[in-house]
Amino acid sequence: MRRRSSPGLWTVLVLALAVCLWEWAAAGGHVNPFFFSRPSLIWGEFWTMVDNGSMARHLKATLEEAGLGLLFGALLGSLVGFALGVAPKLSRALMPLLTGLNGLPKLALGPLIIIWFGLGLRSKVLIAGLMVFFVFVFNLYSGVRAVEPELIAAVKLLGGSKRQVMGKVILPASLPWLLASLRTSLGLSLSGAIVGEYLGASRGMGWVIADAGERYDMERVLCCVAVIVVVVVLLDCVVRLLERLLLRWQAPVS
Amino acid sequence: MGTMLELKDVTVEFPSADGKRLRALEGMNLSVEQKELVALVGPSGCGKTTALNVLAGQLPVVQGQVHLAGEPVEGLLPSVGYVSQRDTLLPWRTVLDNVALAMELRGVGKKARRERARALMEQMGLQGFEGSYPRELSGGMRKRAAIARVLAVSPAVLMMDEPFAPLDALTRQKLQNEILQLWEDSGCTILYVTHDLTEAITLADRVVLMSARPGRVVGEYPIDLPRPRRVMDVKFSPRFVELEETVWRDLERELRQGEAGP
Repeated sequence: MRRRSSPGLWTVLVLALAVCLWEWAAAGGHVNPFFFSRPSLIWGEFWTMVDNGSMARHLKATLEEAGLGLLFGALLGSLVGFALGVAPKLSRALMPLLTGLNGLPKLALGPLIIIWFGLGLRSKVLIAGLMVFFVFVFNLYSGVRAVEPELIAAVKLLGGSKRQVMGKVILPASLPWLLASLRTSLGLSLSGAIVGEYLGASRGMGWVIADAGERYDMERVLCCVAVIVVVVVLLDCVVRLLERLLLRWQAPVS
Repeated sequence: MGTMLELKDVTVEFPSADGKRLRALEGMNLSVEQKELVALVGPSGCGKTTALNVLAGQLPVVQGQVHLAGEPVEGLLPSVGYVSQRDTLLPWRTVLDNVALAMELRGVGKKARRERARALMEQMGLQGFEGSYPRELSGGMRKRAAIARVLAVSPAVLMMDEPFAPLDALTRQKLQNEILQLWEDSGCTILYVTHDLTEAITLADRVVLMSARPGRVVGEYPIDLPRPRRVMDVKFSPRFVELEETVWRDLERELRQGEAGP
């Protein structure tokens, strides 16, 4: 068998090259470190924030907001999507409405939500939840509609009641769609929380970025951005692991 | 022996795309005795599957009567085991849990249903695959699992709709033998839909030929080949060839009419 270098290795190599190039350009004066900072300075800033505890505090605040938003948005969105999927009449009435609402620029509602729900946790959770709600609605709806009618007919023929068909066919069949929604929603819920903090808060990664940006503290801004990226990547790995565990019955992709 | 399945002057219609009503069955009469193995053959699209679905209580009739063991059929019947051409094992369940599904739906306890499912899997030659998922099985094994799944609740009637059509010839032959064995052992009634005349004659006590759409019965042929049968032995007997020729002549006529259209 041909030896295959893992794609993860390539990602790391490309990233390392870019960082080295950046450091070299900044050190040599090819780019202005005042605007673009330097990887080594950002790294130093990272450890400063870790040591004084501000990183943990703000990251925890943001993750809490995003996590709660994801939880509520996913629960409610899945419920609505599932209900619409199994009730064609309901979906005919509500789907156009939901499609229209989904068209709203949700982040643009941020200022309104801050005004209505205050500067605290609630407004951020709401923005994050709103970001992911529609993802779950539309995905679960499609998932339920995509269940093979033959499977439903077969289970009915074996003596399955409506409720049993729901629990033993439609629900497990839409699990892949649920997990796909979850993956999409990780980044979205974090974006929602961060934008919420940006608009008005006293803590969280979004607030730190806004605050540092106003002071032209590029090290801090870029450090926080990098941390958020790494967090999203790590969370994505967790969901992918979950997918692999829960969807062992599916043919492996590629 | 009593009559197990009965269609009396049954007509079935479907709404078609152009808003008219499409007649799938018209004045169809069929009766299957208890413990009989009847094969239903006919040109494709003649309503074989429709007839089966009516008997299983899956489809309403416009006119006529449907009886199972003397009782009128209204809605789905728990005493019917239905095996279709399509693969309908639940892909997220292990083979064992698929075989146990019908029992689970009837509220049989986990231990009891797993025990019975294990025994059935062994009977169908599936031991060792209890923990596998359907996608990990070959087409023939999936079919065996589907049959084990309906056998789990000991149905009085087995309805099979071209169950082995998607399989290769060799696997098909093996499974045909298994069906014969199963039928001889269990004494259930089997109504077997197929477009394969050889298969029909090999298995059945009686072959029923349906006309092109709208479907009705145009011929019945008692198959007097000796039992117990083995698929490979039966096929080369002179009587088999004779029977096949007789049915084939009539089927060919229906095929030609089917092509000409109504």
